[in-house]
Amino acid sequence: MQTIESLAEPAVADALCRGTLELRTGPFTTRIRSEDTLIVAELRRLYAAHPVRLNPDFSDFHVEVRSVSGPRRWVRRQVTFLFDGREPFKPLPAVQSFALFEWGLNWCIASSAHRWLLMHAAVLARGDDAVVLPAPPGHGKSTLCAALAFNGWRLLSDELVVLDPETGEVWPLARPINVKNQSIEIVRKLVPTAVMTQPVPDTLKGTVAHVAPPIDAVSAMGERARIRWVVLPQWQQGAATTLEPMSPGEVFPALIENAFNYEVLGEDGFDALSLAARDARGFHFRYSDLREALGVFEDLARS
Amino acid sequence: MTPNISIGLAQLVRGELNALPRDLDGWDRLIRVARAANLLGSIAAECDRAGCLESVPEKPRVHLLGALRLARRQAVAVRWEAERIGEALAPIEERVVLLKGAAYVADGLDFAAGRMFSDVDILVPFERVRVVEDALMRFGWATTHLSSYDQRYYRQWMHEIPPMQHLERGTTVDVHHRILPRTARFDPDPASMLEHARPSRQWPGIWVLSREDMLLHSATHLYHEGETDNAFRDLLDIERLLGCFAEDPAFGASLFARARDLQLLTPLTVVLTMAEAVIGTKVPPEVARELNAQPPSRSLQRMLNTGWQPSHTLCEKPGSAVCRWLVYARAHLLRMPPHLLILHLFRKAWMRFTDADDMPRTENSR
Amino acid sequence: MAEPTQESPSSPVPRLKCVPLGNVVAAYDRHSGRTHVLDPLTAAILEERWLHGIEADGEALSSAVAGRLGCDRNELLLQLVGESLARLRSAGLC
Repeated sequence: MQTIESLAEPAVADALCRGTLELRTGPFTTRIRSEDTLIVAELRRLYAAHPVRLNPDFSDFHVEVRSVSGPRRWVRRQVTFLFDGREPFKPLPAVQSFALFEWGLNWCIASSAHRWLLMHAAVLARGDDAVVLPAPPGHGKSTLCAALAFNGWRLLSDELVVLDPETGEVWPLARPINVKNQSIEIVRKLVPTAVMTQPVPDTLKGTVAHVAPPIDAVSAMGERARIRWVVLPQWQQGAATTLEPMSPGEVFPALIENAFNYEVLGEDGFDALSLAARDARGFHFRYSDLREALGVFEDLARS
Repeated sequence: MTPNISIGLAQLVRGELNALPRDLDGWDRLIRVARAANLLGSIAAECDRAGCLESVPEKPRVHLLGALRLARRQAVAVRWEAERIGEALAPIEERVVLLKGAAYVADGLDFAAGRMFSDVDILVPFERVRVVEDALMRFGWATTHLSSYDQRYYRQWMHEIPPMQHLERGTTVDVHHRILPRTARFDPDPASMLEHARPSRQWPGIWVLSREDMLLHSATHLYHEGETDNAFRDLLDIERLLGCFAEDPAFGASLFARARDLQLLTPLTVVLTMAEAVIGTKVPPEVARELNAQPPSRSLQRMLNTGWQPSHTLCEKPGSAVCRWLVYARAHLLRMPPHLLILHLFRKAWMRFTDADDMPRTENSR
Repeated sequence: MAEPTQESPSSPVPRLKCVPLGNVVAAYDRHSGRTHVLDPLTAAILEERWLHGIEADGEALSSAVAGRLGCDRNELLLQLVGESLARLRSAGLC
């Protein structure tokens, strides 16, 4: 099996230039075209261990990141993302091209992958028991997710839960973890050896960086997991670490609220989430100390 | 390659499944073009109807299943919407007369399985527009926020009032009171279409246009439409409408008689001629005779033959971008006399998408 | 107004699909595609209506609900039943 790191840089750059490089992230394959040097460099670093194919036959998504035409091609260069020829977003400054690629791939999945129930949450696993962490922004989800991912929990995804409504299993994506602002420093200290992009300031979300997923998460991208715990995290300055049980009746709406395509899945979506709410243990989780938080999750795993 | 993909796409939508790709490369191209042409759900529905979804290779099958799910869900939602609109209009004793795709489903036309919907379109008498708007507001719809310029433009010139969105459900209803904008070259009488409206065959309490008017309405809109994204699909709809209704041998004659009455003969003949050229429609002999009697100009045919292909790079012919722009500009000329032409962009609501904070602000147009 | 949808002439499919979740009930309305989370009283009312055809507002309904919940048919119950019915009506469920 070929990975990006098994290819020499000129081969990667050439394949990207011609749009013949296909990247696998869990159940999704993406054919990428780009001449952007930042894209080439960051794909090689952040997706080093991911499986790739050259000259693929069928790919789920065909994407391109390219410079816009016109004056912005040269002056304060902007880049744009295309999903099979269509531009879903406004262009962004060229320095944000990798972040744009990541957001764009989220868009491709969220807007068309209705074979699955998709939720906006982090999901990690211990063995094949998964913990889902739904949270609106500002609750500390991505910092916690990164901490867990590098402390014995297998990363499935930091933002997109891909749930198979037929089997109730969650599919890993094992993609880079998106961290922002203060979180960047915290993660750097927590995991000094992690591969990270250069922080990019002034994006719509503040300063943004991506952290390469741990190798074990990437090699296990074919191993699905079942939802065993649903934890709603809330980081709060100075808060004591508390884990409060949530009833299934509370877990159910929490899952629905964070689902992208619940309505589209209709009754299958209802089945998938009502059963997940019934069978998983739910918790509200408040914390300020990351180490203590990790301890709580260890206890959870052992229970 | 270029014409083959479009023809292959048309064949599949018709249910001629021998045109299914033979290898994954072929599937890769088909899925992309079908998605761009808004026909992925229709193809999935045809495969499902023929019982051959299971034999589609797994990688493309996932995409077909996703599109089918979406389309089926939308069909349920559209019916629910139509019934809610009916509830709102009942107190003022106004019928719900559906237009376009929702009407095809309501009338049980099986080619409409797998179709993608965005809004619900209804036709009401011009003199009742205000009353209808008020009735809808009482049941939770609100006029979409537009600048006062846009409001004036809509209400003065257009054939519909600004879209109304339901505050709780987020769905949109377009209330039409004319067939075409007031300034358009053709001026078909909406009152006559309303007079000939009939109860739909599948949804009790919901009405649709007569069979002839359904086809004429679709043809007229395609003829005048500036945005080419759905042109290929619309041609297929018209072909299928003709196919369904022309099982009755008298239909061809009554269609053209009606077209003459409403002075829509030109749009009808142009669209049917283009259906032959672009998607290979085989028209019945009596229709062919009418088309041969007044062929559209060669330059128009050439322009539409390119502009009405599926909008995907794999279907581009030389000059596609230019033709699309020409179609767009021509549509505006048709809708407004040259001295009133203002380049005015309308964005209809796209399918609702949860506004996750991780996504940059998106702009989608249909 | 509240008819079960029929998926085929020979096998009517119930309009509501219910999944108990601890002390509430998750319900999927097949007719509208809407999802509801119902308290036990409202869920009991719906079940009595749908499973046993007991009409709304009747004595039979509140008696059946009282029996189901294991309590007396008293003023408070009648009031709560009335409130639940109002909620159900505005959700289009009866």
